[in-house]
Amino acid sequence: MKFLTGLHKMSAPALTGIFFIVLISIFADFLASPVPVFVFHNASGEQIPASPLFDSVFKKGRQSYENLHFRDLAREGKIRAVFPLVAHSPYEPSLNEILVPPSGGRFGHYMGTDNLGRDVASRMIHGARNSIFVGFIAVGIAFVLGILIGSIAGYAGGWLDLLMSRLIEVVIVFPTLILIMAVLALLKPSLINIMVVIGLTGWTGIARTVRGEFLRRREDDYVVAARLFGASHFRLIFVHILPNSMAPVLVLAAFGIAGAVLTESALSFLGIGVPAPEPSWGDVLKVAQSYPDIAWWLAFFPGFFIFLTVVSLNILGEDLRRILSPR
Amino acid sequence: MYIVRRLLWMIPTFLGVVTITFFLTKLRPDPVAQQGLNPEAMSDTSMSAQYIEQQRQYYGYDKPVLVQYLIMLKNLATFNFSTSRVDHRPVLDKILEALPYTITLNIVTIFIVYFISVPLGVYSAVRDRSRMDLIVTFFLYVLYSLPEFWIALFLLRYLAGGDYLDIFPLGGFVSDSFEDLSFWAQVGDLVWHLALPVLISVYGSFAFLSRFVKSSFMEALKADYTRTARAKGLSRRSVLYVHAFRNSLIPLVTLMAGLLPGLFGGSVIIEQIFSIPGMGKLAYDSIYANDDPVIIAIVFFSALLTMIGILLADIAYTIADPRIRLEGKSQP
Repeated sequence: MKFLTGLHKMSAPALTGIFFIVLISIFADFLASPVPVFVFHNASGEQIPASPLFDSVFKKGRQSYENLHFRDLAREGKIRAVFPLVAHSPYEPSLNEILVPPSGGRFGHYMGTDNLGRDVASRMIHGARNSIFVGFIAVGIAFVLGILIGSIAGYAGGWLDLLMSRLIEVVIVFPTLILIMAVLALLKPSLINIMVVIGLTGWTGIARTVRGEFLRRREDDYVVAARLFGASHFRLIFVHILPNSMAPVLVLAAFGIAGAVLTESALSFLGIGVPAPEPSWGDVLKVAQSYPDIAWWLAFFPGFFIFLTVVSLNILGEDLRRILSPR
Repeated sequence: MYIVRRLLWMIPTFLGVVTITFFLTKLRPDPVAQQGLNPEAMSDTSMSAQYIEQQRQYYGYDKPVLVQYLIMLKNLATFNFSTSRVDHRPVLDKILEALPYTITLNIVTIFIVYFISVPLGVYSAVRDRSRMDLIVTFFLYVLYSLPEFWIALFLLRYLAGGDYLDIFPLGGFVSDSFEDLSFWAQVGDLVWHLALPVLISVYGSFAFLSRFVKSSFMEALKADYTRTARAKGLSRRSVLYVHAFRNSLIPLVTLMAGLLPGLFGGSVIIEQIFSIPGMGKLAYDSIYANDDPVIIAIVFFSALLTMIGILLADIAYTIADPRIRLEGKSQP
């Protein structure tokens, strides 16, 4: 029970924080949308289903529903409806609501609006999806690459190890951000490209760790025993050695997701991240840079969301390390 | 022998890095650099066909790609970096111009980080798992997780230029009147300009370094020689700071060498926010101006320094700790 002292007291809040952000990103469509969840009284003469939000999310009719201006219909009393938590679209600009400070109320802008009159709260919620998506997929790519290359290097040894070690060294020695920027300048920034690029540059730590674990374990008794029983290389790698080497890789993955979220928002902040109309935390911060004196809400909320995600993942990673390290 | 072998193994790595950079710059749609791209078909009409042809010949883009690649290798091997495609100045001049800013910023940063992290790490190790240790560790993790561009926005808003406290400048490295100032006024001016960028680049590094110091110090505390020193009846002070501390510094040496590439590369984000014309900004600008010679030179130096750093770390390790025999080590 020794590990139950220290930072682990922060694990529960950290896990809650991650859980919270992941939930937001999964249910973003239902948390922030100008389309109501339920319409239980319709006197507007429009053809509106009972739950237009579900229709718009699952049947892809979003555009036509957003054009119905449900908020106006509700204000005028023509419909009675239950709206999502934030009743605004992340994309919809509004000329007479530019840089509005945060306000309460049923259809208020809880986190203000940006320079195009788009609702910041809605952009935060939909931006969470992009950030989390980038973080998990990028680390997923790094995870697979790192394990493959690391295990081949560590298991095979010899010239394969030399070759793989050179490959690892090339990526380590390359200035990461320059590589990412150069590739993005080449490929045009898109969500997929950003994930792939962050993944392709982030696997070296995992590969080195896995290689080290394999070098250490390939002559262990249980591995030798399995080999004597005639286990194939594939079986030796993936059934016998790899599961025993996963602990440090998991720690790296937790830190990796934090790093990827940070990198994505930094790229968007520099203007080379998620492309224009797509919401991203870093993108809102970039807008904030242009209005430092007028709009504090543009700077505060996105940074806070990034911070919450990154600090939660880092604390979780640190705790995993503490729990999983043998000493 | 070991060092010679290491040096030889650096060659393929280096070739790999340079090759990737070369083909990354080659693959871009760029009227000057790319062959077979009809200049008239490009939307950018600011460049005449004649000018493009001239440029192409000057930078050797009219030759086959493989020949271009070999020429680039030859040029790099002889430290000939050609000229920038943006302003036609020698690449080396541009880099030497940007380098002092980045190096000054980074040396100040590294000094402060070490100055604060080492005592913090030692303290945390001596008082391991005390309430204070936990608070410090937690606080450092929070600092580590604060995005630097976020904090920079707030510091600029409240401490510089704007409507609040107008204490620091909004950006830049020195005032326009820098040349005319007396020496101490120049130092003061530099400190005034560097305060915010240094603050931003410093705070995130405390966590990493002090954790590192802590774990290596705790390792030293558990070691036999520390136990022996304690058993001899040496004072607590002598045990901690003479026997344990000095030995725990060995891993720090390796970390020092790892700082070399960072010294050179600089931070794109910080230099961008505070408009410091250092290496990070040069790299960023060059990538978006398709300035291939500059990009290749920056990657070249950065990779070279990283590898030298790794090598120096290994060598420093043997010097600091004679028990480590490099000959017996497995392949790098």
